[in-house]
Amino acid sequence: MADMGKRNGRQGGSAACRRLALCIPCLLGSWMAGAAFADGPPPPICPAQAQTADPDAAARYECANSCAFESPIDVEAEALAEFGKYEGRVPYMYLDTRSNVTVGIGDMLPDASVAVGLPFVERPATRADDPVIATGFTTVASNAQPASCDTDMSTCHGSSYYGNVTDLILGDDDIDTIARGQIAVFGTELEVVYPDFDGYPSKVQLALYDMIFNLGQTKLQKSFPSFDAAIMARDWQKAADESHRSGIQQERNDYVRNLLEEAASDGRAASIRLQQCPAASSSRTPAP
Amino acid sequence: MPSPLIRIACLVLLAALCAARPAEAAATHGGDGVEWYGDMHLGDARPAALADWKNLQDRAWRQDGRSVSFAVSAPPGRAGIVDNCGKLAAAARDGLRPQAQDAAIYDAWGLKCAAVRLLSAAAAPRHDYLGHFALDNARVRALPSGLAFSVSRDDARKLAAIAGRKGTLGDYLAGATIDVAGADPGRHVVIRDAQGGTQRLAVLARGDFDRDGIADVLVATSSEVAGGDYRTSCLYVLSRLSAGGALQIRRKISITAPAD
Repeated sequence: MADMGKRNGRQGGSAACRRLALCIPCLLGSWMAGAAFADGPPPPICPAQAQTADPDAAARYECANSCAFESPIDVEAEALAEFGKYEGRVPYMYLDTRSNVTVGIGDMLPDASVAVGLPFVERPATRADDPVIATGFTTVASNAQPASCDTDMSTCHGSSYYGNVTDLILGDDDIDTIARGQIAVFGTELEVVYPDFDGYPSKVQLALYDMIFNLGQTKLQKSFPSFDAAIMARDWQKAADESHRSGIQQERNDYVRNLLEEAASDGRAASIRLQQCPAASSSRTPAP
Repeated sequence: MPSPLIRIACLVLLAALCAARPAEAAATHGGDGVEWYGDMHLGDARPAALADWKNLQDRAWRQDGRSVSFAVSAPPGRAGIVDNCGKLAAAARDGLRPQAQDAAIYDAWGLKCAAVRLLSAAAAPRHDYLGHFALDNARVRALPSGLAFSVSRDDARKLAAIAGRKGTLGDYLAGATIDVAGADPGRHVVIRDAQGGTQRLAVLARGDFDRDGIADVLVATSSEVAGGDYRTSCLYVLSRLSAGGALQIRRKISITAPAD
């Protein structure tokens, strides 16, 4: 227990109290409820490759390495499902309300060369060759949105308007593959904003994917300083409080808030669990 | 006899005036103390008289001669078709939404329907303290700060501080650019902030929309961000309650997040 406090004290309340010569009340509080310890930043996540089905071995690993295993979440698959929910899923090329040629889960195609790189098929099921795809891209792009669409979106063509403009479609698996590429791009952007992103709990990563998909990197970095600071400090509860976005659906705000609150709760539980480690488990152990 | 130069100058001036008048007349409609501008229509329905707005709630939408409809749904398995303002209101009550890729266009129709409802109930104002209301750089900065594109809790705190010292939108827009947009001068502006956000403002109509006897303007806003799918739209009723008084938000209708 003392050793755990030393290793985690840099982040926890106990070490701060010792520095302030307030050892007795703080240690007493920790001993009584684990509260002072649990209020600090949560322990880091143990590497997934160290996960084991044997709960005793997992507990020993956690104690020895002062980290906490998390319930595995397929972040990419979850993010993919969420993106589809908020962006829709369209197998054919269409113009969005900003006149960008778009396909799949809101994937913008900046030019014909990018479209040619995708495995479009001609309905019903013939793999389209490059010139056909390039022509299809041009055809969609030339079916322009009305000029009034720029200032009055009610005059824009919906995606279904473009459903029969070409015979080119993408298969479901290909749409997923392209979207995974976009998720990877978001992942890279998130690492720029939050250098420790890879080490965050899966639930926090999932929440951050939604934030950056919704807000873009610039807005997330510049309009959410309190949220960003909370994330950097691994204060998931504060981040949950600061994650609210005005003007969007309540359901989407709740989704991100719940993920962050669950991460905060997981972190508190992990801190308390680590407090109960036997003092002997001080030397780091390799992955089982 | 005026010189040829003066005569040419007069002709040029006359031509310019003639060119300007029809544009202004085409952009403004109304009567009975209520007027609406170029953007205020419901698809192909472009009422010429105030009474005509009352008949649009249940009229099927058409745009450029084509019928417009949206498939809406909500889990588990509830679905419907929305093709007029009445059905849109019912779908909103039942939590039905369109396919995500068409939500922006659907919400734009929703905004128009909200404006139609206000116009249907509008009256001629007995007092008008608004003066000439147009959107340009200076006037946009003088608008109430509550019109700001605010997305985060940090933004909300900043706005609360501005409101506390009776500031205006201009106090919020440090580093932003304001561009006059659209074909109807003074009716549209695009604000690009320094944080990757873009907000469009459009003046839709003028009249007494809250039935307090004082002239209001109806302003629509839509906001979006670079590189994200964030998008909101709102309708505001703005008024000035006394001569020389500050512009105030009398009512805000959030289309994308009704609870906000």
